[in-house]
Amino acid sequence: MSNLVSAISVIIVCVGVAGLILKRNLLMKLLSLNIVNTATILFFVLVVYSPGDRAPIGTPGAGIQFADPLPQALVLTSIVINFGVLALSLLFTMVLVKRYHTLDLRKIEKFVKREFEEEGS
Amino acid sequence: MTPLLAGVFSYLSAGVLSFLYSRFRFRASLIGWFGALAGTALAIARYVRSGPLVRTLGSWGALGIEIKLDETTLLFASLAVILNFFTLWYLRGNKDSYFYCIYNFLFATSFSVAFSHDLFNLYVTIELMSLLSILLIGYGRKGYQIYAGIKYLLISSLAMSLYLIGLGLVYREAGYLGIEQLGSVLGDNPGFTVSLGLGLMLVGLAVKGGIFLFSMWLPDAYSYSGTVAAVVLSGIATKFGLIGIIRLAPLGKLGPLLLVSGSLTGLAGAVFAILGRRPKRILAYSTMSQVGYVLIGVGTGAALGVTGASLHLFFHGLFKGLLFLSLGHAGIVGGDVYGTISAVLPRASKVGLVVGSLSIMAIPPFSGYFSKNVIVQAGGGDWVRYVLLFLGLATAIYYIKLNWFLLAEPSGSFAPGGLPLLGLSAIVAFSGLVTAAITGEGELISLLGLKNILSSVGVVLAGGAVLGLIRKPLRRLEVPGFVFDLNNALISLFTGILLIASFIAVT
Repeated sequence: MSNLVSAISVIIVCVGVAGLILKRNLLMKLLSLNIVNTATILFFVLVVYSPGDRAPIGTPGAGIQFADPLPQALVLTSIVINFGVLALSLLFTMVLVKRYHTLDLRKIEKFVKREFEEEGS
Repeated sequence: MTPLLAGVFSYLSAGVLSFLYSRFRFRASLIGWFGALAGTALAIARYVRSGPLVRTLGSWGALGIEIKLDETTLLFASLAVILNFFTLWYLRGNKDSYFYCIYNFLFATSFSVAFSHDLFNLYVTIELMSLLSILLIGYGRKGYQIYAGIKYLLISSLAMSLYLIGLGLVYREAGYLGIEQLGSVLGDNPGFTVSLGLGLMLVGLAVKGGIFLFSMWLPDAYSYSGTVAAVVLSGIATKFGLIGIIRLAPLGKLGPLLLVSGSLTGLAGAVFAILGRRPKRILAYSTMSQVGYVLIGVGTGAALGVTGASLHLFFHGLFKGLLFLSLGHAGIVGGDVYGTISAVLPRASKVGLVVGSLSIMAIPPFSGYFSKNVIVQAGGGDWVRYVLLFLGLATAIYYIKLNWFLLAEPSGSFAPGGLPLLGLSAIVAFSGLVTAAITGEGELISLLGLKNILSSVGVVLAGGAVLGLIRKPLRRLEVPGFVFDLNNALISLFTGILLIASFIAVT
């Protein structure tokens, strides 16, 4: 069970990565990145779980297997970090859209290079 | 240990204070710097008294957070303190209190990465650093800066997800997060799962550390960002990934992998820099090339190699900071070295440029000479020696090219803003000699022999001769810009991941 879900989370990572490379729209790229991050969190929570484990609440008694609480505690930090990354990248996208009026990455790259050439020299 | 934590705290409070009381932004940052300086001095005293040490914070037994004090920690903390002092001096008169806030927070994270010896702690500090450095890259709010920032953000966030997956794999097998504990549990022969996990973590760190195929975001980010941002990014932020690699290297058999990727990084960076045309971009490529030296030093696996790598981290931060400051002081943003730069270089800029270049070309007795030669002495096989020789030659070629064209520009008069440049030049010039004198290490002192000096100078002269031969075809060549576009950077990242995975599967 746990292995199956781990495999599924790796597949979700791959889906996100494919979106990240194939999509030209910057917003779609950010969403794909978020899919990758979420799948990573899923993987991280499940990696130390084995079937029949109880949630790690209460005191351990005889015959009860608890899931390892450490990864679940750690993953909270990375959820917060991912939130920060998403907020910051949306802000940056907003600035880019305001300036160039497009979300298409190829157009943005063309504009950016031209702008730098003009200002640099 | 407490002194370095005090340094983190003093930088954090300086950041908060300069944000809240913007009138006192400069004084608050200065106080933060004093706290960090005192902390570093105390930590060095402690190290001299009782040697390297690993401690566990918290009362959770083996699950506590490990911290470590060794020469890498101390060199990195000193680098942060020195760069902080000179960039603060350079920033004097800057009215933007928000910039001071981000800048101080970045130095706080640099102190905390210096002593992290715990996989998850490394992850958190490195992510914090990347959020702060993205704010610094995009700080000028120019379109190209924002684009460089978002490119860095996408690639590095993806890479850190991979780091987290690798961390999960290692934790499942070994059950610890502290590197010292892991080392004792894993033993000499880690299994396939652990190796795969370590490889994935290496990918995450490689993206931060400026390694070829993994960090194609780097040239845009450095050449588009402002002066102080470029100094802090190339001097401090890139080193986070490298420190992570230095910490991880003893866990698995990563030595050959690091030697190969270090050589590739060095060579690719050198080729880019030889073909490069914009001054700031040449410096960015050169950062990539110098990262190669650090990786080779770590990859040799010898204690001497790690010492050389840490020394090179320290000196490279200093002289690359000096070079970026020199260009910034002269107001050079873009432009082509073959003609379209029409800048007046103040005298301080020229001094900084020459001292920094001599140092990075490993001319004795400047600082780069010591670190590069320690790495050469650490060995690592015959082919590594040839790669290092070629890297020395290539460094000479592109720095002679840069100096040739920039020094030909008219000199401006001395401006008071040039004082920090002169101070940093003095430090770059003498820090190698001072380090050799203080530590009294036999390897450093034996480098002052005539044979070593002559061979080092000979390599640079040979580089000049090669440049003379290839100067005409070089004018027509250029690094194609599309290589560093976001999609191509992602694709090269995945090529790198596949290469690492196949390398692990084979060994």
